[in-house]
Amino acid sequence: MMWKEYSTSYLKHNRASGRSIMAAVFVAALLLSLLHSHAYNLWRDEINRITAKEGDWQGRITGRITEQELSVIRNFANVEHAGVNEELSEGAEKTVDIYFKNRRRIFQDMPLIAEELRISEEHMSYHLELLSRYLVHDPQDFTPPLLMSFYLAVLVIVSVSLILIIRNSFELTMQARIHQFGILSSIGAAPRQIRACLLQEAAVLSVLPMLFGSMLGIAVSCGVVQAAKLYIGNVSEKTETVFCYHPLVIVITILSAGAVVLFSAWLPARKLSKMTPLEAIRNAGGIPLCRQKHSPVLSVLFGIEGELAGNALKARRKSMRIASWSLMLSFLGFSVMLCFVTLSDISTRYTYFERYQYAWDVMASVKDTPIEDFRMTEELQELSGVQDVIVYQKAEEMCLIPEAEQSKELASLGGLGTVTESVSIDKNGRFQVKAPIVIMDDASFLNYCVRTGNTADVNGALVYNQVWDSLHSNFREREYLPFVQETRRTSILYGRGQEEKTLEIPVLAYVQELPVLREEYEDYALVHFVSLSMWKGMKESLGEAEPDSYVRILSDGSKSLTDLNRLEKTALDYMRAEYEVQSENRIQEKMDNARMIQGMKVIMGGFCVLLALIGIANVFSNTLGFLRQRKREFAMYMSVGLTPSSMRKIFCIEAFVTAGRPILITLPLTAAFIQFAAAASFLEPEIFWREAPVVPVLVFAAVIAGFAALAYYIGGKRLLQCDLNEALRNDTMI
Amino acid sequence: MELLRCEKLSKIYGRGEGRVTALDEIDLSVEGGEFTAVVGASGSGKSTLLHILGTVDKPTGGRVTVEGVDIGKLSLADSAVFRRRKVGLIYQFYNLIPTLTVEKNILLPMLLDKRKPDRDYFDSIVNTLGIREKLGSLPHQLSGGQQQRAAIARALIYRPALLLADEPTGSLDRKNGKEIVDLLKLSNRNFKQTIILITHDERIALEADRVITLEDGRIISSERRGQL
Repeated sequence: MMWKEYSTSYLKHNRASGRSIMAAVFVAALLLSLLHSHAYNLWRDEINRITAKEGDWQGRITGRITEQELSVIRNFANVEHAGVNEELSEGAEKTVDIYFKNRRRIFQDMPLIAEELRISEEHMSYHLELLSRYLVHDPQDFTPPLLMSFYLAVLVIVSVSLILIIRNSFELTMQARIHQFGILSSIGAAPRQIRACLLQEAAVLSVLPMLFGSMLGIAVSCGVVQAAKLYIGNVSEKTETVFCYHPLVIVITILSAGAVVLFSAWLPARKLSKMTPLEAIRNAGGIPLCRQKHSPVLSVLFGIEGELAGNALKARRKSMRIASWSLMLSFLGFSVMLCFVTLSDISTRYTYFERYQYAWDVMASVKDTPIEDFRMTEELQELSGVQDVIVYQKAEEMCLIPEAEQSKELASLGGLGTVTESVSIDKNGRFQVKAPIVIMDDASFLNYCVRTGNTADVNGALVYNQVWDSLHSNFREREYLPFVQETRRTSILYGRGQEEKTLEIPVLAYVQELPVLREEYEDYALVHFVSLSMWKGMKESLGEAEPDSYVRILSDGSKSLTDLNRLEKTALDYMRAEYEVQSENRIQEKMDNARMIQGMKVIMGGFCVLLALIGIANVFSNTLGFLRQRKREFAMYMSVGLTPSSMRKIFCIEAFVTAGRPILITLPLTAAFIQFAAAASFLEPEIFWREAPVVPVLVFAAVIAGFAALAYYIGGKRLLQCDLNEALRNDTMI
Repeated sequence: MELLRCEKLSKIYGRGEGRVTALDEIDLSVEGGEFTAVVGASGSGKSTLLHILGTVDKPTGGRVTVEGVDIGKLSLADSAVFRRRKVGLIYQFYNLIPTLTVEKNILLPMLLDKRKPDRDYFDSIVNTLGIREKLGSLPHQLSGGQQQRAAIARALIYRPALLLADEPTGSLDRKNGKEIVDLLKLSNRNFKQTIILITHDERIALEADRVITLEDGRIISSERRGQL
């Protein structure tokens, strides 16, 4: 009955109020849907990128796995699928990719599988990057998974901020109606009836805007992805950027918006149930301006208008809390996101481009060609514009280091186990350490011997004897220690999973300098550089190297893109006569990378603009709604002779405080975040501050202030135009 | 027959220095069909007494029974049902729902109970109160006197045991005020309606069967018509 008789007539006669709720729900649902869809697409794109680059396997086991053992793996309850990766398997040496039904149990189940197959942990590997995108982390890894957590935190903050728009809109309308509910209650409406009425009303007002808003959000998100695709092409070279959507996203969007709508309608009903009808009737839709503390600062700065504005804001502190929070959250989300993008940009520049700037000009990977089958090294060296060519191939082997043969420096720190947690030890107490082998063409290897001050000899390995001292330095400014004692003249190597079949090779020397290659080597690995001649004698015992060979070309000083493109083309044409080759050059890659970063910035920038829009929607809806409540208050001011210009002054002061306070609170929080993020990524804060996105943040602050002012202008104009008698004639009892 | 009884009824607002005793251990008994006026200066506790009798406010001490039911012990939901069925409240500022027509406002207590109104009774009320022509209007389209008539009609629609009127003529001019009091007397006479009317206008009070005078939250006199 309440719905039929009361609510329908209320909505009919208060279309503006209904419209403001519908608009708030529509805008919030649209932005919420757009945000969730955008976030989902970014996440999906990230997954596609990782999958295209490294495959979609979750866990991997390498070794001599028989068909029977494979079925043992498949029979594990949590294993969804397990199959041999033919590309990485060689003969009896199999690589098995495992997919789990419940990814979250992978770190419990993989060791159980290894135990069942009686293989050691070094035969197992996890697709950590992919798993981390599903928020699955190694429980032994105590470094917090910052990136995904950060994105999720921003998403949650902004979602809460959007949800507060809906909540605030309901709060304002309900606040204005408490008097009416008091009347209903005084003539016998039970709290349950009022609650049911409010919930029905909320549902009727919100269902369509929520659905349309959500749908439009998806459509806009799709449009944004298509526009980004047109503008920047595919973000990843190997994957195509396509709009994707999961039904769960819209379910989450609608459920969260719907829950908030119902919760927002239920709250005033609950509030009412705690009030006597008399209190509700006396509430009269306004907040009493009494027993408030004075606002000395505003009073001193702006006189009586400052005091009135301060008192009004203080009196409504509780109802304005939602507005302040939503505004603060969106401003925080916006500025933190921008700062994060800047930090990540700086970090990429420092860790990649500056490190490898002089290491290469043209890189070519020769597909499925062992280095011994590549016979063009000398010809390439003769090409015009070429200063130096190195042909190399990589192999992933292991080596055994007796504990006593760690360097004294490493031992004095407490040994290898002190600087890294991932240490495995064989039954004889020797460290089992990864030993990447870089097989270089003989001429290049001999050059490397000479450059490092050693006798040029192809029959032995140069061992890069450095290990990162993670105790006394960070990953950005690393300090290194010698890994092993340099008195040792041989190195014991073995192929992965073949501990029983070791090979002892001569060590020519231990070096602290790497050959000029665009390679990044694993931490806590002992890298061996060997000549092709040496490798030919080793490979029988160790197994095959990686299938591709690489050609690194340094130009003779050509620094322009045209020069490098020309050099790349010449080398490529030459090699393609006999081999399948893929190549890239340094300047082109830097430009491609810059384009990709620009693309990411467009997407992230779009995200930030979305956050900004949310903030502005918050300011506008809150401020305008806030003013709607105050017709009677301003009528009272006018009745005692406050001039329109004084009223305008009050509006200006309130707009200033409304917009200024969240900004003032948020700026130090953002600064604290930057300080923390810079410290966490071991970046000097000054470096960040030089490139800090000060201008966009200030512009955003100015836009927020502008919209607060606009909302006050519109609301104030309406208030100033209202009929004084009408406003003062209140239908309250007291 | 006794309809209403108050025993040591108290209402205290605030604490410490701000403590105000609005009602101070009042004892009162009202017979069914009686028309009682409560008078007193501003702040004497008249409205507080009425609000407690109408269950829109709670006493802080003592006991109030209406038809034998201790209304101070009712839950919120039961209080609402009590108000709907047993009490008709008339306020100085009418308190009509501005978005409902006059007819819907009058029928609201019945509709809340999902009951169909007795059309004959409804007609007799609106005819008596002279608002038949205004049934389709919204409250703001009515004059103050008409709005108060609609409020009285709403209070009477459920044939409540008790009609409570808080300064019902306070917002009206003398002519309209007189008409409202006449209507209340008419309903008292025609419908045997028990009425408690709050007023500070002695001339209006003199229209009642009994006049109770409150001062500082206490009853200082209670006189019946013959004694006045």
